[in-house]
Amino acid sequence: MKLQAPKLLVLFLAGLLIFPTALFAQDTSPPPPNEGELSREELWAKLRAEKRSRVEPGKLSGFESGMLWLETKGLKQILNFNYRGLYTRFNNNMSTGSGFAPGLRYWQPDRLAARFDLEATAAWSFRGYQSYGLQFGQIQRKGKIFSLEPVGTGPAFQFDEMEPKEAGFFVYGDLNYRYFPQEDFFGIGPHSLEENRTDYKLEDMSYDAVAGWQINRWLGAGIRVGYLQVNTDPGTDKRFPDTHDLFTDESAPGLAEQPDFLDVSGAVMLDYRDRPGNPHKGGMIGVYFSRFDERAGSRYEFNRLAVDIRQFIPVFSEQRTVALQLYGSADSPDAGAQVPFYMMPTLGGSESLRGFREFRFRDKRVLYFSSEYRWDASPAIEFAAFYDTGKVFGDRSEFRFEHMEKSFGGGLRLKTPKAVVMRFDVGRSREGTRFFFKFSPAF
Amino acid sequence: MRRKHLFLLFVVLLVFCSAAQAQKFRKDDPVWEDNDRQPIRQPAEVDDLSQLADFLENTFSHKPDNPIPRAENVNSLGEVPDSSWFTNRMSRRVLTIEELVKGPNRRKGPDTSQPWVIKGGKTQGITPGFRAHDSKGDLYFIKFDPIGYPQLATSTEVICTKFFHAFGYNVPENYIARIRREDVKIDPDAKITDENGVERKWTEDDVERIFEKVPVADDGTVQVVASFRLEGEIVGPFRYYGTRSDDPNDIFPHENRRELRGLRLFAAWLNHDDSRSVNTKDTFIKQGKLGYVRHHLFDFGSCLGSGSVRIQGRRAGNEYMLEWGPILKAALTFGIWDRSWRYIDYPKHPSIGRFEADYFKPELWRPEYPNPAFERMQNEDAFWACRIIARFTDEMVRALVRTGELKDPAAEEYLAQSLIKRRDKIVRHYLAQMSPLDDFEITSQEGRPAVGFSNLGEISGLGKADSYEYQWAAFENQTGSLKPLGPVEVVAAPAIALPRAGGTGYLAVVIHTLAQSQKGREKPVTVYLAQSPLRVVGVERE
Repeated sequence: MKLQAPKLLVLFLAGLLIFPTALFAQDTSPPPPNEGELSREELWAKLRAEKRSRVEPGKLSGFESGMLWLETKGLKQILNFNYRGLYTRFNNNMSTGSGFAPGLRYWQPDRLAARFDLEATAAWSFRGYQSYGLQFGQIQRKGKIFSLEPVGTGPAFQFDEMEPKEAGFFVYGDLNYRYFPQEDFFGIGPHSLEENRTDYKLEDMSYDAVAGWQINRWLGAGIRVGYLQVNTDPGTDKRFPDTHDLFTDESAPGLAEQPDFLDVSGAVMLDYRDRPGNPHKGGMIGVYFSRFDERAGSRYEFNRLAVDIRQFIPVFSEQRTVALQLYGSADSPDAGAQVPFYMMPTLGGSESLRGFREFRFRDKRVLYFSSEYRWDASPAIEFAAFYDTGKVFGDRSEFRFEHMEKSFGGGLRLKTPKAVVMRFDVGRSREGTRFFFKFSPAF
Repeated sequence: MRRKHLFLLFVVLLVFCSAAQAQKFRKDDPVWEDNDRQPIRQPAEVDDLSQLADFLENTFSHKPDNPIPRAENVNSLGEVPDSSWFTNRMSRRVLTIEELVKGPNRRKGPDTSQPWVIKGGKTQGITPGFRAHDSKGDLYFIKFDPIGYPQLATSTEVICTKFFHAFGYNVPENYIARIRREDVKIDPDAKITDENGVERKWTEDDVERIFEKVPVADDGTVQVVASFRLEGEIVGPFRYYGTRSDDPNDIFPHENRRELRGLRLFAAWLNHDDSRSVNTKDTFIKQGKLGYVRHHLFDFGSCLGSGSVRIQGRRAGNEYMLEWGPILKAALTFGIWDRSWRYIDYPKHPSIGRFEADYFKPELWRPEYPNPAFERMQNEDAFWACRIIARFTDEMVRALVRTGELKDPAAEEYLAQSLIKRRDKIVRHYLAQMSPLDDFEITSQEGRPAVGFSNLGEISGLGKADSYEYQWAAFENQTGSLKPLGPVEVVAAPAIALPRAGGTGYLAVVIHTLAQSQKGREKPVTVYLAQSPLRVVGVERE
C-alpha cells in the first residue's frame, strides 16, 4: 500500500513527538541565559514584580456588588426594610384573591417599664384592597397574632401560625380596618352557579380586646371581646355585575343593611407540629367558638363553632409526608335570626378547593377535607400532589356525603427549614384550572 | 513484566520532560519558603462577600478545566513552602502534644480577674455575641452556645482551631472561658445596633437578653469562646479562586494552591462544611509604612457535629445545598428515592451534636456548596494532606479533643473515637491512590550513600511491603531526558544505595512497592537527587 504525503507528514510529526530526545539528546551546548537560569525564589520574585506593575484595587464584580446590596441592604429594604421600627411586609392579612399586597409594619417592642408592645400595620393590594391595624399591649411575640382574627370575609381558617410560640400571657388592644372593594359572591349554598359571579365592596372596622395564655410550646388559649362594624357597597370590578343587582336581601341576607355586632370569641389550640411553618410530622387541633350579638336588633345573631384538625404523617421518611386537614365550621343563628352572607364561611381559592375560584361556595356550614402527598426533592424544594373535597350547606339536616365538590392538582414549594417561602399550586376542578402563587403554605 | 513497566515509565517521563524543554530543577530546589511577605502598600478593605453571590458563583461557575493543572505553589518535593498562607507544622515534623494543645495561642487566655467590659456587638440575630475587654484590656469577641446544647459550638470552635493550626493554617487565638451574668459590665460608650436598625447605647437589658438565650451550667456559669482579635487590619476575606488584584505577593491562583486544595481533606476529617470564603479573613500586617497580607481561616463553629447556632444538619457533609442529581432523583420518583444520610443514627450527645464516622466516606464528603479549590483537588494534593492527617496519633487526637474541656466524658470519648475512625478512613482511601512511600532522605547503606524512605502504608497499618523494586537513571535537567543506569533491582529494606558510578549531574530512581496486601503499590514514585551537594531535590508520584 502506498503511503500518501499527508500520512507521511503525520508520521513524521508523531515521530517528533515520541522521540524528541533522539533529535535533541546529543545537543550538549548550554542553554542561552534566560528565565531557566533563575532560582525558584528569583522566578517567583520576578512573577511578583510583574504583578506589581498591574496591581489594582480589589473590587467586587457588578454581580457580586448587586447581590451584596440585595443581601445587606436591598433585600432588607424591600423585604424587611427597617427604619426605626418601620418594616415592609408582604405576607399581609388580606382577603384571598386580593392580589399582591405590600405593606408596612411599625413595631416597637418593650416600650416603657411595663414592656408594652406597639404594632401598626398598613397594606394595600394591587387590586385596591386596603388593611390597617393597630395593636398595643403585651402582644404574643412569635408568629402571627393569636388567631382570633376579627370575623369578616377573611379566610375561614383560623389557625395559621407558622412559628413556634413562646410561652406566656398576652393582653392587648386590637383595632382593624379593612377595605375590600371587589369581593366575589356567587350565591349561597352548594348549588350556586359560576355564571352568577358578582362582586361587592366590604368595609369593616373592629375594636377588640384580646387576652390569652400560651401555656407552653404546644398549648395556648385566648379570648377576644370586641365590637364590629360592617358596611357593604357595590363592588368595583366592572367585569361582573354588582351583588346588589343580582341578589336580594332574601337570597343574600345582610345585603340591604349591615348591623354592628358585639362579639365574644374563645379559642384553644394544641399544636404539636414539628415545625409549624414546614411540618413533616405531628399535628394541630384548633377549636374556635364565637358569639355575635347584633347591637340594634336580633336579626343577625348567631354562634359559630369551628374546628381545624391537621395531621402530618411521614411516610417512612421525612422526605415524604402525607398532610391531612379536616376543617368544619358551623354557624347557628338564633331562632328567627340569620347569618349575614358576608360573614359566612367560604370554600374555594388558594387554601380550599383549589380548583375553584375564591369564595366560590358559601353557606352557614362548611365541611372540607384536604389531603396532600408532599415530597422533598431537596430540603428547599418540595413537590406536592393534592386532592381537596368539601361542601357548604345551610343546615345540619341538609348534609349528605353526596355532591361533594372536588379538586385535585399539584404544587411546587420553595422552603427554608422553618417555613414555606413560596408556593405555586395548580388546581383542577369541574369548573376549570386555577393557578396560585402564594407566599404562604397550603396548610 | 515489571521491568517492562519501568521501561515504559522511563519512556513516558522522557517524552513528558522533553516536550517541556524547560529546566526541571532550579539551583535552590527544594525551596521551603515562599517569600510572599514582600512589603506592599496596605490594600483597601474589600467589602464583605455576598453569601448569595458566593453560593451562586461557586455552584454554577468556577468549574475546573480539563485537565486540571497541577498545584502551582509547591516545591519540587510536592510540599507547600511556608508563606503568608501556610506554615509547615505537622507536614514537616511531628509536633509534641504540648505544641498541639497550645496551638496558635500566645497568651494564657483572657484575664477574668475583673469583670468583662462590653465595648460593642450585637444582641439580635442568630449568633448573639459581643466585643469585650478582659481585665488586662485585651479585646476579645465573645461567642456563645445555642440554648439546649451546652459546649457544642464553643468547644468545637476551640478543638478545631487547634487542629487547623496544627495542619499549618493561620487561625485566630480562641480560648474557652466561663463567665457569669454578673461578670459582665458595659462600657458607657458601648454602642449596639438594635433590631430596629437603630444604633444606641448598650443597656443591662441587652445583656439580660443574651444570657436568656444561652445554656447555663449548674454552677451558674456560661461557657463562651473568647476569640482574640487577629493581628493586623482586616482587609477582607479571601476567595478560593483567582488572586487578590491589589496584592502583588499573591501570584498563585487560589484554586491552584495545594494547601487550599488539600484543605478539603482536613475539612472532611473535621466536617468543616462551612469552609467557604465568608469564613476567611485577610489581615494587613504592618511593617513600618508598608506590610504584607496574611490569610486566615476563621470561624470553626460549624465543624464536627456543631452547626454554630444549632446542631449540625443531617445534610452537612453529605450533599451540597443545591445538588441536581439527588434533587432530580427525588423529584422524578415522587420521593421514593431517598437519601441514605437521613437515616444515620447519631448518639445523643448534646455537646457533640451530629458527628459520626461509620457512614462517613471521605471521597464523598461535601462542603455546603462547591469550593473551587476543593473541586480541583488531585491525588497529589490529597496525598499531601493525607500524610499530614496520618501523622496524628490516637494520643494526639485525644489531647486535642480534651482542649474542648467537654464535661461529659462519654461525649469526649465518642468524639475522639469518631475522629480516629474518620482519620483511618481518610488514610486508607487516599494513601491507596498513590505510592505510599515518603520522607525521602539521603542516608547510608553499608558505607554507601543511599536514598532512605518510609512506607506510610505500613506505618498506617494498611499492609506490609514485601520489597521494593527500583531502577536508577541519569537525569538531564535541561532536557528532562532519563538514561537508565543498570538493571531493575529489588531491595527489602526501605533504603536504596546510589549507583556506584559517580558524577555531578542529577539522578533519578523509580521505585515500586512490591506488596500483595498494600493498595497503591502499583503506583511508582520517582525520586530525583542532585549530586553536588548530594540531596533529594524532587519527588514525583503518578
